[in-house]
Amino acid sequence: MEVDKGKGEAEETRKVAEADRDTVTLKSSDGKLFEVSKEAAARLSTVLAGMIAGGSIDDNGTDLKQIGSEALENVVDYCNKHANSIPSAALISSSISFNTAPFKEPEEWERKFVDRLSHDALFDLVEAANFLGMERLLDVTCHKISEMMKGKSPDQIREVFNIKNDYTKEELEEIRQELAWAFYDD
Amino acid sequence: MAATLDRWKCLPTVLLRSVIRRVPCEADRASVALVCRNWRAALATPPGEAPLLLPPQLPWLLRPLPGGPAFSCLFCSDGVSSTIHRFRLPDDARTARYFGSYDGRWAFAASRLADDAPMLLNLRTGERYSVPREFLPGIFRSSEPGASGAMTMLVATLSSAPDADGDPCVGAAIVRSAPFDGRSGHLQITFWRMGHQYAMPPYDLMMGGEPVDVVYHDGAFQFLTEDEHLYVCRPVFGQGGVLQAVEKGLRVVQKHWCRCRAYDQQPHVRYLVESRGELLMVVKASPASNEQRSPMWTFMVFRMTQIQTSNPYHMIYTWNMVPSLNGRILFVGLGCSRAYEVADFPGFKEGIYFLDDRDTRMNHTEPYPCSDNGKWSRVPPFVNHCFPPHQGESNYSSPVWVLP
Repeated sequence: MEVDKGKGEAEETRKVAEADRDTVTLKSSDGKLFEVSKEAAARLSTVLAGMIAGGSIDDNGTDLKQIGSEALENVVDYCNKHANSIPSAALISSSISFNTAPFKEPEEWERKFVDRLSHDALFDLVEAANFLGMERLLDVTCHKISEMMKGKSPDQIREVFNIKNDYTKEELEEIRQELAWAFYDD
Repeated sequence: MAATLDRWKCLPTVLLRSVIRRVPCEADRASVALVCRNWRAALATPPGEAPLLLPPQLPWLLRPLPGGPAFSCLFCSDGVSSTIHRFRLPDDARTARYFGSYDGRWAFAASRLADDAPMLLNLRTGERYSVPREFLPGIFRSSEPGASGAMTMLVATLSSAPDADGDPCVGAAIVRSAPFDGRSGHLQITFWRMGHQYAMPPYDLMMGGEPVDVVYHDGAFQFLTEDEHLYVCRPVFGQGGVLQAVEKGLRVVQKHWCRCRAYDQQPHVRYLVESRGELLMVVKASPASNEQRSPMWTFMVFRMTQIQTSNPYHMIYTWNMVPSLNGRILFVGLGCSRAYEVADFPGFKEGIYFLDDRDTRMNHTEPYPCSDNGKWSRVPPFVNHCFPPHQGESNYSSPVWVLP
């Protein structure tokens, strides 16, 4: 690349270096910095792709005020892992796409990636994926959450997600009229 | 790793809806909506938004476990095995004898608590209709001493859902009338208008042996006989939707087909099922003289074809073997066989799901065998017992399909 050897040499060199950098720096709501592959970020997140294309990426750390450091670490971790993973066609075709035709099945490493998360961390991650427009990560996290619901009674689901039953007796009776089988024998 | 209390309650609506789209089973969706008020509101369709479409559903296997039935769902699992739902059922449905089912999660049940009174119960809503237990009095055996109009329904189906628009709902059943005069009751067929107290006088099949299965197809109830003839019984309505009569026609199957026709396997049960607008007969067979507890079943599928004869008033039919399932998923059960398309169920492969009907002498004597439920695949021939856990016998019912 030809660089003008004139006055603004230092400035120009810095700009070129920035343009050539293959990572971007993201800053969590609590001020922590994370580096992520620019290619993966642009490919996996529509929001980050827009920021990179629009030049609104800050070299000192792009502020993502809605995302905490733990969730952002997971997002970055996911992007970097994705950048390194070789999409395995064999794995995709051999996995049972069980009645989820419109959705792509998570790959093995993606399953493991979300399986190790605490339920709070999973909650933060699905919100972050939604905020950043990360379709693939949303697929993976929503798939994981749906697996936590399947084949369970309402009581069991409440227990898994730690939700208090806030229905009144009258409301439950009303629902029972409509849907008898939502009432399980536990 | 429990989450912070009530945090998930506040999962944004768009995300909760995105999750629920990945939950294909209608019973699961009902459970999720019942978790808390927020979730129920999120899953209700807001004005102007597309409703959360439920994908096509498959039958559940109703399994008579001690204390009440459980429902094995093929959806809530990995597509190979099944998962169990256990709903709260009314007390009189808990140890009932189930003898049929109909689309929309309707099940025929005879309650032991209510002196074996038969009913049609909706498992989704709890709605119910009573079903006749006697023939219309005054006609049946009135002159014979000791005779009664009582009967036991063994296999039953409907012309439509009881709450559907259109022609009135008619039921049809294979029944055993009450024994009298030292003779045990034999198998007959009968019909009733849903909601009526009495069934029409029983009808004896004149030829072809006893009735073995029934399905509603092409505007008529089709009864299959032991000899594989077909009785076509068309309800006729009078003014005000009164069930006036049932026109009966017989489709005789070519003689050399009957009884003496050599199956290379021992036929065990025959079913009728409607698929792609036509009627199929499915024969479940096992290697001859196989006395194992769970025989290695094989299944054969046939299509009825008319044989051209010189006499236009003398029509003869034959059953032609259908060589391949050709993308079909069949569920076979007496009175409740249904066909589905592989194309509608990603992840599923063609095959025939069957249930334990080794009690098909229709004696309905306890205990009922319940362990032999599974899926048969043709290539390579294979039986997968895909409804764990293993269940031995039940003292109140045979298994039955609960149809979506």
